[in-house]
Amino acid sequence: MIEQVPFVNDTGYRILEQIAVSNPGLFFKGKLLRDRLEEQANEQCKPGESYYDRFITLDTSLAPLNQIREEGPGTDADNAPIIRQALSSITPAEASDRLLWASINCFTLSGYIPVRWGTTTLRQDNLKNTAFVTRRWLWKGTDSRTWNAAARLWWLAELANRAGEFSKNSEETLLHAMANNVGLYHQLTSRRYLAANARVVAAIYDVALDGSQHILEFAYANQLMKALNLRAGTVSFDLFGYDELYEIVEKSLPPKERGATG
Amino acid sequence: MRHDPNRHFLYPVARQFSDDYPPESRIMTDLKAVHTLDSVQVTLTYKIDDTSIIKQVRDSNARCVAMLYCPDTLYRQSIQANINNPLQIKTSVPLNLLRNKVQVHPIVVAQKNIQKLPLDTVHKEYEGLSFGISVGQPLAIDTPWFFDVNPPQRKRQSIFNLIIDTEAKYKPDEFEVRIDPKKRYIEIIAGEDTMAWFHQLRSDRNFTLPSVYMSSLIMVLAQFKDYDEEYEGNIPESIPFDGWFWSLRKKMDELSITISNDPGKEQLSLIMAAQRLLTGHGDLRPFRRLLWLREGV
Repeated sequence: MIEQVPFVNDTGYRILEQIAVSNPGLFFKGKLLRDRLEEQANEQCKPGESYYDRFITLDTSLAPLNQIREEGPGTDADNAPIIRQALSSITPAEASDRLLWASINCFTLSGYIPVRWGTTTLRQDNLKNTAFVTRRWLWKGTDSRTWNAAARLWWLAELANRAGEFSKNSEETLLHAMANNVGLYHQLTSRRYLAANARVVAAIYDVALDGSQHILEFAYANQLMKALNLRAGTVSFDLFGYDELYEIVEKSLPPKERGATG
Repeated sequence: MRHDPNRHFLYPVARQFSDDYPPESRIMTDLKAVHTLDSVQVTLTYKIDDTSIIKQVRDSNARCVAMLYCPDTLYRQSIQANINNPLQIKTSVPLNLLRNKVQVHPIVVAQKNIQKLPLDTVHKEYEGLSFGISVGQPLAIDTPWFFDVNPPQRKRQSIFNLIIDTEAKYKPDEFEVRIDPKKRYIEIIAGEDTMAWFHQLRSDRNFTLPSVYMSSLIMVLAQFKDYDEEYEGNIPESIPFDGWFWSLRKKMDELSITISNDPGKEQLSLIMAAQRLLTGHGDLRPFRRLLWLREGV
């Protein structure tokens, strides 16, 4: 089923930011948010302008993500392929567009995000709520692809797909390892030059799945990344094949018995 | 991976702000990034002044490498110089893989294990020492280059749609302009011969678009004026946002063109309005840049 979603323009995005400051709770109420957006756009736009001026075509509906409200949000590993399939035609350049993800989050995932990220996280402190909403619905900072609700799922599937080309594990296995162990995933994606090398990503997860599961935990993952980072400054990982990188990762593993210090 | 030129290497590496090599033994690079419609052509030219490093390159022990890295899209590609042209790297990267800033890291790296690095030209403090270098280790590093990438442009299309009359009810010299705000395009329907003339005119550089569309546009503006008055700013939802009506409205607003049935308003004649639209601000092809296609993101 093909679905059309309004693609907010810069004006629309600016208004969403204003709503996030003035009334972040509206982000949990999809229809009301859209009404407010429309209302503010009418006030702020010149005649003939709107908060959107084109549409996103979803190849399939994202309704399954919104229909799971009663059963719970499901896992990221289950949901990532749904987003990926619905947006199968977008390119990495488009998948880094804050307007795209704000549009998807605000107009199509209003059922999913509150369940996944919990309305209970809404606090008395409006500043905290604004920060939370800006992070999950909108696009803030360099790690947005990790925090934005929909972008996070798309990039999970994308990175698993890229690494799957080199890994001895299946794409699905990699996706589960990434999604279910955010300690390593967040450490990796915060070092984008490492995450951008699919062979490095494949080698790291393969080493982890081959019996070094401890590096999936945050503290050990941090140690591993520091070791790789040190090595990466003097050696060009890009010139190495998968086997050599696997060996480098193995040699850089923090010993489990010594415990991690972060 | 991300060679840090300030890092302390255990062997001499030619780079800026380092005295491992004398100042005249430098590596310098020049980057050209040329944008085309759907890709960017990158050419990185190396100038290596150091005789011992250039010898390693000529002997295929080392190779000039450019690492292209786009943090926004997590694109990373290492491009090696061709054996036939070891001091230049040329590559083309699709724009849909890039966004905002792209980094290009020029380095010369060992592609074979070098048992004993020649130290003919290095700083005197290295005299008498011997260094081995493994595959992947850099011999020379230049400071990274950066270039900006514009967001990928989608194809844009004229608001006019030329349609050949399949029923051939028009004579060769006849055509009809169908103007319906609910449609995405203004349809110019004509017989086969007329359509062939249209296409010929459009592809002939000696003719400008006004000569092809002027008459149609005047007809459109006459109708547009009526529709605009009728809607009084409340344009119905049934009129597609990516259709010709909205595009024309935006363009007229941009160029401050007012046409109205109200005699009290200052306005242009239809002919003047059409002329300005077709030549507005020196852009002879205003309609080509009006529309984003509805399909896709």
